[in-house]
Order: sequence, then structure tokens, then C-alpha cells
Amino acid sequence: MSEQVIEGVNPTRMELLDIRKKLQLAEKGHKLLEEKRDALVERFFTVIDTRNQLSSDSDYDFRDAFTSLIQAQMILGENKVENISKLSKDIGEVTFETDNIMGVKIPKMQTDSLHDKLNHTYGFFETCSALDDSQVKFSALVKKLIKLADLEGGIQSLALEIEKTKRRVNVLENTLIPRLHATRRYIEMQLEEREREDFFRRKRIKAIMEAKKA
Amino acid sequence: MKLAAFCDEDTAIGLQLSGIKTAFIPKNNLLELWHEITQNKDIGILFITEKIAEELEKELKEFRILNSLPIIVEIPDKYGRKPNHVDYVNHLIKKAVGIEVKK
Repeated sequence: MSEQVIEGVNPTRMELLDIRKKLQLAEKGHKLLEEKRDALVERFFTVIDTRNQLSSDSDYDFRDAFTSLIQAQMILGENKVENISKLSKDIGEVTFETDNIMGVKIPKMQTDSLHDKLNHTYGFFETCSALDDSQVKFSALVKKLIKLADLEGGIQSLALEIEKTKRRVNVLENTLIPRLHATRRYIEMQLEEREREDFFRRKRIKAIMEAKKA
Repeated sequence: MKLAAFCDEDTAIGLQLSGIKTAFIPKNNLLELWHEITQNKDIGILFITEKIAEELEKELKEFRILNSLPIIVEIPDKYGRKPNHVDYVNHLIKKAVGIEVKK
């Protein structure tokens, strides 16, 4: 325990008051951070649930969409499908805003400017229904993927923040607070010791003085 | 910001059908393309197939620690998900929750 005393403190009353204040602050901070961590983790779990759901959903859709695409490629030939794919309308752009959850900045996507309505950009002659299918499926899939991206972005910042908060909580819990406690005890003991010394000295002097008088 | 894909040809065609026009298709120049992508500040979401993600594992990890954008989403290719691949998000979850379990 004694090696945990903060170095360079003078065992004085002022210092003791200081340390007591610091200890109070550290304990308050610890409690707050703990609460923050718990809240973040709770939030994290709900996000993870939706994310996992969406992820396995999109996996299934992917398989479906690829089946259609491969069918279209078999019927029309790879070159033709590739050419047609270049005709489709650009999906547009997303913008990012930052959302704030308990002091954590999370990128939030604005998808208003995306064109998610399908309008056919290729002729119905010379193409087949498998191609239509695959376009519809891929468009639905991309919508899901964008949502997934939004969630994953959030998960990333949340996870980093959780780790950071955890580290802080642990430092407070395992290092700073025990150290402050130890220092407080050390100062208190030193002060008591000094008082006892003082007391003894006074007794001694009194005895000597009385011996001189007599 | 734009949506982009870093994937093989077939996946690119599929995504192009749905309107994602920016596709990077690697042909023996994986790293060059990767640098090109990281230089491009206009990409908001990057879809990357697991096969490429696996090959670029180290670079991806570094990039993700330093940047929050673009958001990188790992997608399966036409052969489906890889059986033993741990994607980054799952890794993060494990890291964050794993400490929690110990508590």
C-alpha cells in the first residue's frame, strides 16, 4: 500500500484538505462515468441487434439477387448485361450529419437525396425478365445496405467510446482512487504522529520545568 | 458524398444496376486502387467484398482507426460469405462486450 502514495506530497493539513477534495471529485467522476458506460452499452446492444438482423437479411437478399443476375447473364450474355447496367440512373449522394448520443458523435446519414425509385432505363425488347428481377432485387438490397452502413458507422463510434469510457473507469477505480486513499491515510498518520510527538514533548518539558522548580 | 464499391466484376454489375456507379475493380493492382480510394474524400460509403477485405486486412484496420468516413461495409460476393471470416464490426463488438463480460 505504501508504494501507492502519490510522490512529493507534504504531510500537511492543507494537503490533506486538498486530497480529500480530489478524492470526492474522483469518486463522483467514477460514478458518472460508470453510468455513462452502462448507458452506452445498453444502447450498443439494441443497435447490434438491429444490425445483425439486417446483416443476415441482406446476406439472404444477396444470394437471391446474384441468382437473378447470373440468370440474366446466361440469357443475355455478360457483355450485354454489363452494358445495360451502365445505363441505369445514378443513385445520387448521401450527406452526413453528426448525431450526439451522450457526448458521442455519431455520423448520421441523410438519404433524402437518393433516387430510390426505379425507372427503367433500358428497352424491353432484347432484354429479359431475369434482368428486371435482378435490378429490382439489387435496388432493394442497396437500400438495406445503406441502412446497414448507417448502423455500422454508429457501432464503430459507439464501440470506440465504450472502450475509452471503460479505460477511464478502470483507471479511476484501480489506480487513482486507491492512490488517493493511500495518500490520505499517509497524511493522517503523519499528522497524528506529529501530534503525539508534540504532546510528549510538552509533557517532557513540563516535567523538566517542575524538576527545576523543586 | 458518393457511394462506391470495391469489388469483383459481377458484384460491380449488380450494384451498377441499382445505381452505384463508382466501382473499383482490382486486377493485380489492389494496393494502388486502395490508395486511390483513400485519397478520394468524396466517398461516403464504401462497399467492399469480403475477399478483398481479407487481402487488405492490415490496411483496412489502420484506415478505420484513423478515419470515421467513409463507412466501410463488407458484403459477400457471388459465392456467399466466407466461412471463417470475422468482419470488423463483429470484432469491435467482441472487443467492447468482451471486456464487459469480464466485469
